[in-house]
Amino acid sequence: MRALPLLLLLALPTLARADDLDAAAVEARVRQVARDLAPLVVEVEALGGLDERFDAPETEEEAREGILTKAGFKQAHGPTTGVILSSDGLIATTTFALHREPRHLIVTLHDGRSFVARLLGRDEARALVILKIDAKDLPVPRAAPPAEVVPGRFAVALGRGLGGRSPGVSLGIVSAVGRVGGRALQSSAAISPANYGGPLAGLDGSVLGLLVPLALDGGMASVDLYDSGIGFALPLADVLAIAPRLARGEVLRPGVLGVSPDLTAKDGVRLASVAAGSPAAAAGLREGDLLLTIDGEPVTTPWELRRALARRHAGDEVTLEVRRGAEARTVKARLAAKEGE
Amino acid sequence: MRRAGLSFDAEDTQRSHRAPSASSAPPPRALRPISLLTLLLLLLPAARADDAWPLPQAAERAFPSVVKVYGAGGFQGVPAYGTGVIVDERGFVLTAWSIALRTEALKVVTHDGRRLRATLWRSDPGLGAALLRLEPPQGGLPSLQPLRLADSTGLAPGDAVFTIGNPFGIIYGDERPAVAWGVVTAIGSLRAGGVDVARLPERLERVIVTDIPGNPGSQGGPLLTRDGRLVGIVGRLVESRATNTIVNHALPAADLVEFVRGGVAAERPIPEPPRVAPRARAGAAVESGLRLQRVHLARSPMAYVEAVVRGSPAEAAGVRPDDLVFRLGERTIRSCRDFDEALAAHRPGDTVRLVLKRGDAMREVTLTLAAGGP
Repeated sequence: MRALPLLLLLALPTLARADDLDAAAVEARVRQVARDLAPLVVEVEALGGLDERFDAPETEEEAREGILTKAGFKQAHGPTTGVILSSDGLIATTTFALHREPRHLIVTLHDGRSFVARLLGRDEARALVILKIDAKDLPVPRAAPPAEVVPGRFAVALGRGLGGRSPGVSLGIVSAVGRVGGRALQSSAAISPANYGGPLAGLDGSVLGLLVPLALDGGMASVDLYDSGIGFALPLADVLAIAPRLARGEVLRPGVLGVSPDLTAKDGVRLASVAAGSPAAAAGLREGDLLLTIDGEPVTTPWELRRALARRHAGDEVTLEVRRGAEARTVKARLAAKEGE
Repeated sequence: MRRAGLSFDAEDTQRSHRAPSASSAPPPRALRPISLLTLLLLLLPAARADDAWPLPQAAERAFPSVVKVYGAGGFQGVPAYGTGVIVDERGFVLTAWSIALRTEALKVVTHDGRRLRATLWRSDPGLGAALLRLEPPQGGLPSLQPLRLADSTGLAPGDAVFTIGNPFGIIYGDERPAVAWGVVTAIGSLRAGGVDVARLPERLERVIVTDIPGNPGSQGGPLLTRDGRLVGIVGRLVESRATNTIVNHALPAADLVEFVRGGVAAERPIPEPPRVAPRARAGAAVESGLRLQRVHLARSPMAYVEAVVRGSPAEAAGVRPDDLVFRLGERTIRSCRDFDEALAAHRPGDTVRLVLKRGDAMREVTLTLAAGGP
C-alpha cells in the first residue's frame, strides 16, 4: 500500500489532462476507446411485427420516402444498438428498437454470439428500454462521475446501426448537460439510428451516457435531428439508477403534478393555477401557494420545479412543502401519468 | 472480461467492471503497473494552441491541388457541380463518378480561379471514380500542384480525417473550398450498412465511412489525414435504409492507385467499362435443402423453416421445421427475400454459417451447400 500515494499523485494530473492532448494523442485515445468499449456495445435486432409487413422498400419512391409511422418519424430497417449493464445480461437500449412492435428481439455480442432477448421494462420519458439475455461474465461499463461530465469535453459515440464487425465511431464534445428537462446531456457527435442505444464515452474510456432518440421537447427525434450536431444521451449514472426498477418489469412514464407556476413571481415557485382533478389538487394545493421543496430538495424557480419533476415518474409519491400566507404545510401527492398516456 | 478503461487510471479501472446490482463491497485493490503510455502522457508539455493541431498547415498545403468541377445537369437530384483533386501535373483530376460528368461542356476551376475545359478521360461507375484530363488552353497548362495518393490501408475507426470541398456549389472562382473534419467511423462495406447497393452504380464494398457531413458538391474532394496525406476521394451521397441517414464515405486511395496510373498512361480516353448487373450471378444454383414458409403477402415474410428435405445439407446440419433463420453468413435475414439473395451469392460446396432461432434459444449450425437442380 506504500505505493498508493505515488500512484494517486501520478493518476490525478493524468486524469485532469484526459482531454489536454495533442492531435495524435486524441486520435490514439479515440481508437483505443473504440476498441476497448466494443465488447460492451451489442447489436439489437428487432424482427417481425411491422417489419414483417414492411420489410424493405420495393420501389424507388419508397426507398426515398422510407416508411413514416408518425409525423417526422421514419422507420429504419437496420439493427439498433445496446449497452451491457450487468455481467449477467441486462442490456440497455432504446424504444427505437420497439417501433416495429417486433416479435423477436435478438442481441448479438461483439464476439458474434447471438441471444434471444426478453423485454423487461421501459422508461417512456427517457426512451430507455431494459432487455435481458441469458449470458454471464459479460463486461460492464464504468460510468463517468456526473461531476466530470462537463460541456466541452470530448465525447465518442459508438453504435452498431451500420452493421459490420466493429461499432461505428463518431467524435464530438459534450455540448450541454441537463437537457430535455434534466434527463439528458447533449453532444455534438453524429447521433442517429446508426448509434441510438450505444454509449457516449469519454477519452478515458468511461461511459458518459446512453445515446437516445429524444428530441428537445422530450418527444421522439425526427429525421431532421439525425447527425445534426444535436443529439442526446442519458447520463449512465441515471440509467444505472433506474435500471433495477425497469429490470423488475416496470413501465415508467413522465409524472405530472398539475400545477402551473407563476413565471413572473419573484419570491419562488408560486402557483398560478392548479389543475382540477390533478395530484396537486388532490393534495390540497391551491392557486397562490408558494412551493418550497420537493422531497426535501429546495425548488426556487419554475425551471428547478420542471427538472425536479422530470427526474420522477408517474406513480411516484412526492412530499411537498408549501407556504400559504404565513402557514407552512407539508403534503404528499402521487404523480399522475400525462393525459393520453 | 475486457477492461473498458485505459490503464492510466488504475483507481477507476478497479471500480469499473461491476454489475450495477452487484454488492457494494469494493473489490480488492491491486496496484497495476503504470503503463509507458501514462508516463509519456505525463511528460507531454501543455499543448500550445495550434502546434498540436496540424490541420491548418495540412489544408494550406492541399488547397492548390483542389479544384471545382462543373458538369451537366442538376437533374434527378444529381448536382452539376463537384470537387476534384489534381493527381498529376500533366493535367489529371481525380473525382467521384457522376452522370453529370458525361458532357462536352466539362469545366474545371483551379485554386487560382483559372477556368479550364476538361475531358472525361477515364471513368468507372463500378469503382465510383472518374479521371478528368484538363485541356491545355492557349499558352499551355498552368503549373499544377498535384497531391499523390497515399497508403490508406492503415486507417482505423477513430482516426482524424478532413475533407476539402465545394458543398452546395457556393464557392466561385479563386474562393477557397470548405474544410470539414471528423473521424473515420468504419471501414467496410456499405452493403453491411443497409445501403441498397443494387440501386447504386458503385460497388461500394470497401469504403471509408466518416462522420464528416456530406453535402451535394462535396463528392470528388480529397479525404486527408490530419497531416495531409490523401487517403481517399469523397464519394457521392448515399442514404442507408438501415438508418435513414446519409452514409458519408470516401473511396479508399488503395483502390484508386491503379485506376489513376492506367489513366495517366493512356494515350486517349479509356471507354467506360460495361456495367455489370448488380444481381447477376455467375455460378450454378445451390441447394440447402431448407424450405421456407412462403406465405403469399405483398411483402416478403420472415424466413421460417417450413420443411427440411430428407438427406439434404440442412438436415445434416440439424435444421428443423419452425426454426427462424436469423443469419446466413454475416448477413442478417429479415425476410425470405434476404435468404434467397444471401444464398444466391454462394456456390455449391460452400460452407455457410446459419444462426437460427429455435424457441427461446439461438443455435448456430454450418452446412455445406449442394448443387441445385436446373
